[in-house]
This record gives sequence, structure tokens and C-alpha cells, in this order.
Amino acid sequence: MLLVLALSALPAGCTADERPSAPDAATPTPVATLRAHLRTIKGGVQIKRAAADEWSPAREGQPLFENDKVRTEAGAGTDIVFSANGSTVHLGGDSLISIAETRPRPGLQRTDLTVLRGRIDAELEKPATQSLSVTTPSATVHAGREIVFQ
Amino acid sequence: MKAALLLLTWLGAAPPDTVVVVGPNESLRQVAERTLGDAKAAEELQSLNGLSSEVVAAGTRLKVPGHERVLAQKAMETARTLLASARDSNVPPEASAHLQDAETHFRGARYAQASAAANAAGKLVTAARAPQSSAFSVEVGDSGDNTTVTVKQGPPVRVEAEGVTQPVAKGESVRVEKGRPPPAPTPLLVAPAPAQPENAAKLKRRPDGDGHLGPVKLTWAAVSGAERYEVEVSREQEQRAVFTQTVTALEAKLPVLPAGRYRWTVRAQGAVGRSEPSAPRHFELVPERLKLEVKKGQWQ
Repeated sequence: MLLVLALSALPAGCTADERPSAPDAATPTPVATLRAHLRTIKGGVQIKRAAADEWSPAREGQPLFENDKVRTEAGAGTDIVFSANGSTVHLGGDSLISIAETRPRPGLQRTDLTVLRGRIDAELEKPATQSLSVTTPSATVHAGREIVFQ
Repeated sequence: MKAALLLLTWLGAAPPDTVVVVGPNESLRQVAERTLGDAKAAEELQSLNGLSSEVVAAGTRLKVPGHERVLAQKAMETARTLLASARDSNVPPEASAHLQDAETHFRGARYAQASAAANAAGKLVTAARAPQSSAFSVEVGDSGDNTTVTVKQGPPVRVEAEGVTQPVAKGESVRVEKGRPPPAPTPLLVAPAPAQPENAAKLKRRPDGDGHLGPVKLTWAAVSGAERYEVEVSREQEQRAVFTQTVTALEAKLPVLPAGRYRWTVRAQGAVGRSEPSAPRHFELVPERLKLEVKKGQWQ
């Protein structure tokens, strides 16, 4: 029953191999939430699912879920479009990012991203209503609407 | 249907330039006044007809611009109005530079280019008035020990480390070292302001054996924090650069070049990155005519 519910929660167009982690019926785990998708892939871009050990080549339009990682080779790049509010992050060459876990609050839009290596260029079309949090090993960057948890 | 399409094609096509004949004792300014209603348009007539001076003989047949000129005038008027009404808003200096370009092209009777430049100026003003999106970059150093945040557009972003939050505004950058709070942000490099030659200058140079002209020296104002400057020169009608050079001085000497119209830009480079290119400047290289002097004597 749990397996059925979990599979039905996957986004439309998500093929079997793109599912982030098929929960084991015996030990149920929370279903990963769709956060973003890849766009305009240029050069060598790879993706590692949260529950996977191996990196695999990224594909145009591929969905990204919490804790998935994306890396690019030197000279490569891709856009990551966040589903919640359409904010776009361009991942430059020789970079490594992780889609962070986020807990959306009612009335607030939020996307979180961890940059482990390299460079991202982020754009928020409507910073008055959108927000983006980027974490790195040495700092956290908050852009757009200020998020206040209550 | 076919007839309608033909009519649309006919209406869309730019009408050809008309031809007028210079009257007796009529100057180019008077021709401009008679045909275009503006004596100052003599410069345009001169360019359009490839005349070397404003002196024209009676009976000379001159091309007079048509609809393209009207369109360019309208585009320039719109851009001027937009710029004038946006004096207090954050309009980039490139908008004024584009309008200046449009006026240069217009005087040179290059009406299509004038329209394009005026429209580009108008677009920049409109974009500056629109609500600003936010654009910033985050770069993690090779060892992961530092993070550089640069804000290119929009409201400030907040950089937090070790419990300290530092706002970073548009045009600023901050570098955070691991385990330390963010320092005060530093301004990004601004684009250098070109100095010489003046925009649209006509530079007369003596041709070398191959007919190439030079030298030309480009100069610009210093930019705080700049370590080097990157100069790019291209033909006015082409995007591809004919000359690029990175220098530490505030000037660059161009090699000899074929006669023609050129545009150039300069960028600043420094520890905090590279500035945007300067507003483009134009110049025209023309061959210097040798002055022949015949001294009085038995051969005169």
C-alpha cells in the first residue's frame, strides 16, 4: 500500500530509472520531493541520486530531488530551474552542487542549494516574492524575500 | 489574397531615395533646407552622396533620403524622450552612449544603424524602469576555504557566516574565508571611461606602402582597483575584433589599419574580476592628402 502511494506521488513524466529511491515496502522511507530540473546542458554534466553510489550522465529536462548531486566538467555547464518559483541557477564548469533538503512553509517560497565546488550564477525574476538560499563550506547566501520562521 | 500580399510587400519596402537637382547658386545647406526642411541635414546629404565638401555645382543630381530617415528620426525622438524622462532612475550610461551612436550614424546618413542604436537606448531605459530581477554569483575557491559572492543586479543579498550577516548590494562583492565572518563588501570594477580620440573623430593619417593608416593612440581614464585594461577594436559593421590588447598603461597604440570606420571598447581587470566593456567609441581612419606646393620660379 505504501509502495503504491509512494509511486503515485512521483511527478508525471518521471521514468522508472529517474525515480530517486524506490522505498522498500518493509522499511518505508520518506519520498524525495521534486525540487528542480536540468535545462540547457552543455558538455559533460553528471548526476548522482541521493540513494545512488554512481554518477550517471545528465539529460535535458531531468528532474532533481532533495539531496541529488550535480557535477560539471571543466568547460561544461547547465541551468537548474527550481520548480517552486522558477528561479534559475546556472552551474558553471568544474562545479559540484547538491540540492538541499527544504521544508516549505505555508505562504513562503524557498529553494535551497549547496555549492561544494565551483561557481553558480543565480537569477530571481521576482525577488520580492521569491527567495533562494545558497550554502557553501564557508557561508550562506540569502537572496530575495527574507524568510522568517515562526 | 495574393494581391493583398503584394500590396503588403510594396508597403513594407522602403521607398527609394529621391533625387534632386542643385539649383543655380544653391549651397548644400540650402538644398537640405529645401528638401528636408533642415539646413543642418547638409552633413547627411554630404555623406549620402559621398561628397568631399559642402560645395556643389549647380545642376548636380543629389540623392535625398526617404522613409528610412523618418523612421530613424522617430526612433531617436522616442529614445531622447525616454532618457529625458528617466533622469532620476537608474539608467545605465550605455543608454546615453547608444543614443550618441544613433546621432553619429544619423549624421553619417546610416539611418538603419541610427534606428537600431536608438532602439537599443530605448530598450535599456525601459529595462531600467522595470522591476529589477535579482542576479548574483557564488563562487567557492579551489580548496573550498573561501566563497566569493558578487551581486550584479537587483536588491542586496545577505551573506551570513559565523553568526554575522553582511548585506551585499548591487555592484559589490565579498569574499568570505572559512571560519571567519564576512568582511565589508568591496565595489566591483567599473567600466573605464574612454578619453581620446573623441567619439566619431575623423583621423587623417599618412598611408604606408600597403595603404594602411596609423598610428592611432587610444586613451581612457583610470579605474580604481584595476590592474590591467583590455582593449578591443573592431570594424564598425563587424562584430569580430581586428585588434585586442591587454595593457597596464592608460593607453594603447594601434597597429596600422586599413581606412574605414572602427569602434573600440576598453574593460578594466583586477583582483575582483573584470568590468563590463566601456560605452563604445567610434573613429574613422582616412588617408591624409599630400599638400602639393609649387614654388614660384621659372617652372610655374
